[in-house]
Amino acid sequence: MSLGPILPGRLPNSFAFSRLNQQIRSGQTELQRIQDQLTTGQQYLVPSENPSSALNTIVLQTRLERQQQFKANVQTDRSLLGATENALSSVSEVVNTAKSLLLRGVGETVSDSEREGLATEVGGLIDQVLNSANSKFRGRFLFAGTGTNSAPFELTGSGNVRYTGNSQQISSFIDASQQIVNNLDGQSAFNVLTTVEGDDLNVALTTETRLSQLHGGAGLKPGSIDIVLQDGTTVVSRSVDLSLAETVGDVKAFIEDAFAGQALTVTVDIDPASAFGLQLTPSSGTVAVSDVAGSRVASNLGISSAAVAQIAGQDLNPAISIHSRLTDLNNGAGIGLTAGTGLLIRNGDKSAVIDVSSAVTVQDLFNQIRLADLDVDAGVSADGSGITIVSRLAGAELSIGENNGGIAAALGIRTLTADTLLSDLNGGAGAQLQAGGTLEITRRDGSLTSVDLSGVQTIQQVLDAITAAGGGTLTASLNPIGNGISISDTSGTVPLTIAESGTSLALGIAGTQVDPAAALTGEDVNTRKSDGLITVLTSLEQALRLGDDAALTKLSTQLDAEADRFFQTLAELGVRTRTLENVENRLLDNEVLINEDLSQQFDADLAEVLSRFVAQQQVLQATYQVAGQGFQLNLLQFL
Amino acid sequence: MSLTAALSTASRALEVFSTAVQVSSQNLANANTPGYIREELKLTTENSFARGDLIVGAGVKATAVRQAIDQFLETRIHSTNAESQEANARESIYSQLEGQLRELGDQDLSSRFSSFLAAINEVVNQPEQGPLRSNIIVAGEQLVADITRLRNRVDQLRADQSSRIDNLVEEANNLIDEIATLNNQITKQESNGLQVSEAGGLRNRRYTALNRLSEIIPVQYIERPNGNVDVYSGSDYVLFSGHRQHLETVTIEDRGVEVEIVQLDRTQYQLPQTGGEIRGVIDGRDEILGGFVDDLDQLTGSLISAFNRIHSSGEGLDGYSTVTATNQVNDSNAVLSELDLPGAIRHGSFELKVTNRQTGITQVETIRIDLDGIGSNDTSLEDLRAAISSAANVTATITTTGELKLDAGPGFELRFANDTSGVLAALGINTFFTGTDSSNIGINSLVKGNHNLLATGLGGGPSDNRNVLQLATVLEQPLESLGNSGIEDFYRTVVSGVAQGTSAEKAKAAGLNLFRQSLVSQREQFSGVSLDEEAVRLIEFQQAYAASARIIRAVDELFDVLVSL
Repeated sequence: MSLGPILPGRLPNSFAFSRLNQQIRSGQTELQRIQDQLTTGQQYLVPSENPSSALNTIVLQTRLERQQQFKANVQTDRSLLGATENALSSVSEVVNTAKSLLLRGVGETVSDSEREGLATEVGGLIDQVLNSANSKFRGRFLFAGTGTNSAPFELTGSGNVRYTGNSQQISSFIDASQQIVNNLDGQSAFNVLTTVEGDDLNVALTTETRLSQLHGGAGLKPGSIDIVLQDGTTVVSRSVDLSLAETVGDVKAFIEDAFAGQALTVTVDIDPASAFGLQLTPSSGTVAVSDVAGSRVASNLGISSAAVAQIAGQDLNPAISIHSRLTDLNNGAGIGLTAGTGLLIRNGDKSAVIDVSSAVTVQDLFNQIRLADLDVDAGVSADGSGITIVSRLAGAELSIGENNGGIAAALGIRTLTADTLLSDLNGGAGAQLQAGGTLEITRRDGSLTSVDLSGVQTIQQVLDAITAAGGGTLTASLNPIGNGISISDTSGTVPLTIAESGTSLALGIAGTQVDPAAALTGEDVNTRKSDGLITVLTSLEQALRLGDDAALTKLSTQLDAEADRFFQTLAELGVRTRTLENVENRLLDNEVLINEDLSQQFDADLAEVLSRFVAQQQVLQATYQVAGQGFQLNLLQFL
Repeated sequence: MSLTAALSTASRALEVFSTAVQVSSQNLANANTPGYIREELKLTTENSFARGDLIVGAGVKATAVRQAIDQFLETRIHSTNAESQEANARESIYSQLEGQLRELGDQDLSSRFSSFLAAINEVVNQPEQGPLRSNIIVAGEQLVADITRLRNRVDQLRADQSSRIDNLVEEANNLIDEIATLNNQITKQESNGLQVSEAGGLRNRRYTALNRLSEIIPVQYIERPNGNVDVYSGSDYVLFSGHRQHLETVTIEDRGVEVEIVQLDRTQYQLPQTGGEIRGVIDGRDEILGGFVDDLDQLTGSLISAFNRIHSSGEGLDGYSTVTATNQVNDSNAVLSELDLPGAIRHGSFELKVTNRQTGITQVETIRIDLDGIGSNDTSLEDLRAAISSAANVTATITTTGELKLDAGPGFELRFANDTSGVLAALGINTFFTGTDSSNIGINSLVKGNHNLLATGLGGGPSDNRNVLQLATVLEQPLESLGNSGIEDFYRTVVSGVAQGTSAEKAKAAGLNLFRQSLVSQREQFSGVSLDEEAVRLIEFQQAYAASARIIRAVDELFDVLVSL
């Protein structure tokens, strides 16, 4: 409370009364404020009473609300990951049980009926895994990636398991700048997908190529370049801002436009010599390109150069996109004849010829593959160099071959090619080149030709060795339809036979061809098959029923490897759960701190407020008393 | 004849002393009259006269009844009145604004931002839950409703100031008339009566009127010798030797609200830029409330464009079989970047995904937006329409009202992705919010009608949360349109600006009020009635009266003596 000064001189009664009024008013206001603080428990009711503290309070309140949100996020994440861990822990029991069943099934001492029993048990394990893999929690199929609205795993009629989910992660905020993945997709958990990673397809640079596709998809930072055109006496120099450029065509347009109408101009093209770089040609004289300080665009575009008559840019290694044209693949050579040919894809029991004659872009190709309904999907590989074919059928064999053309090879996805290493064949088991690796071929003229394959490493070398051994009439090549090796012999008309041996079986060409006009065609011995838990278990069931000791031994290693991978996954899941626990603790600690801060900033100190209340009450009371008595004094009463 | 002289001196004294008692009684009677200025009877010695060699005094004379007033103090009070009333008006407007913001509680806009963010986060955590998706829309609607309500309240507050201005103008005009009338009356009364005496009652009323007028508009007054006052406001006159001007209001539109400004009716002179309650109200309305509306618009506009930019590049569970842009384009042949649309459009592209519902096969088309300014091929809405139409199974048209409309062929649906140009957000295709600022923000009716159109993902199945993950960061991302601060940050800055402004204005008003109070106290001290003082004076004159009466009696006795001789 502040009152004005009392000047020397007279003190009229009205003056005294108005001062008394002020005193009482300010005393009552103060008392009301204290009362408000007591009833609300707040130091102030509107921010303007204490702006800086109020701003702190608002910031703290927002932080508190945010913290509480993070806490809720963490709790949701924990419950989802907890459910995931639960589901997987039953699978880890399956892994252990499967190991012991496998060990019991190996060897001569086990009777057929015992094996049958073991196989049935393994069948039960598969059901158990599928059950866990299709676990649903809070309306989410836990192992479906982001395709969470339907059960991701289903048993097909042919005994394979189809995975309809995807490999995407669901991230969640657990702090301002920290995210955690709260799901585990079916592929990471069960390793179900079969993938054919295609070769590098060397897509050509075009004007439509996006700058973000360059350098294998690494892209480049926007910026500016300096270009100097010089012709004897004439010099034209421009700084070109390329920050708006999105495609190579934009780069061309911006650079050419900068010199349009000048004495010297420049033309930007795709370098016809390499098809991977840019080419800058001045109308005459020389051209020099450099980076504006702080920018790396010229270097990144491969056109940074001292003055030369023509700049031939460096290889920009563009990545494939779904919009890349098929004719631009393979250094612009395309993928060959598409009319009447196609891709022959076999996935488990299903197979289809994919007609790509109408496909213009990579996207069209992918859509044709998807339309074939083979449980096969296609996409651009992670590094952007080629394409990837993925089968959703666990346990099924995937083979990609030709249909009288070269498209599968041109797309780099043929499963068996001339370059395939023999050691990779048969699911990595390799071709056991038995007894020195000899193929015994009964020729059409009745003679017997022995082909020595010792020292041979690739399919091409096998083909060459067979052809070389045939004396001009025997030809070995890759099947024009599908995959595998085909052998033709023109030496006579009797049936052509390749004796069954470890070698011939491993190469998939054991057999007899009676028709003298036809070639002896082998099968694809480099099919792809997932080596995940479900595949191992279905193979195990089959091997136990058949009593196939060799297969069981192979499966034992596979199961061990898969068990390692699986437990690794489980451990990573555990790490995530622990992270969540730590974060939750931190959030709880923070919340306490923020609440403490908030209370200091905003909450009224009751003890202090109460004592102020008492003091103020007394002041007001005193004012009343003094006023009551003081104003009775008046000279008029004494007259 | 000196006895007769003595008698007449004494009798005049009696007359003077009873006048003095009357003045005191007037003072005592008005002891509690607001604005009353105590009066004083001016006494002088009557001119003496010579009788023979002697110069003899002729008693006392009352020369005037004067008001005890300090004119200089009065001028200072007037100018302080203007300042303090201006500050009071501004403070009251600040306080009302602060009240509307309701910060510090849990019903404020920042809490709404938090709950909107919370709803988004819930979908981030569990994108598969349909009800949670609806919650984003509900929380979004609440946010929109709160922004709209806040805007409407502030608009209402601004419009309401008009009635306050009307009242003040009317009061001021009445005061001006009153002063003019009093001017006349004072002149008449003072010229009739004792030349030197003052028409106290009328003057009191005029001082009161001037005092009140000086609170409403800043005034200076000059008293003329005839008792008239001329009144000026700023550099123009209000009353000047019989001429007078009234205040009048003119209605203009500002920020979508009809508001009043005040000027003098003859010279159309705007009131001075500082001082007075009317100025405080106008400034408060235009600077404080108007400034807040500007900030709120900037905030809302940034929220809309930033959120929509992300939203328009994502996709929900459903595609569009038909979608109409929410924003209109007047000239479909104008280059897109030159249109007045919310959110900038720049050189770039977006992807249009056309999905066959039956096979699930999606064809992705890249639609280029050429705005490089090179050649005459920069994209207009018409070019965009043609480019979209050239894709298979989609038709684009421009409606008669200038909205771009996309229709998927039968059995197909549309989705959008990777918009680097911002054209989708600017046109209002696949957006969440509609509108441009706080006066027209809304939720896109398509999304409101079907929460499966909420663009949570980037095409990776029902639980793909990659887009909503980005949306969750919108409130905190620094935005160029907000001077590189985030939306929530900016809002806090605005709120704390209001709090600091309120606080500063409060302090200023309190200071000015205190100063004014002390000036008024000074006047009170100088011009107020003191009962004790009047009592003393009463005793004084009573005694003097008794003494003079005694003289009359003495003279009477002397006459008796004389007569009985």
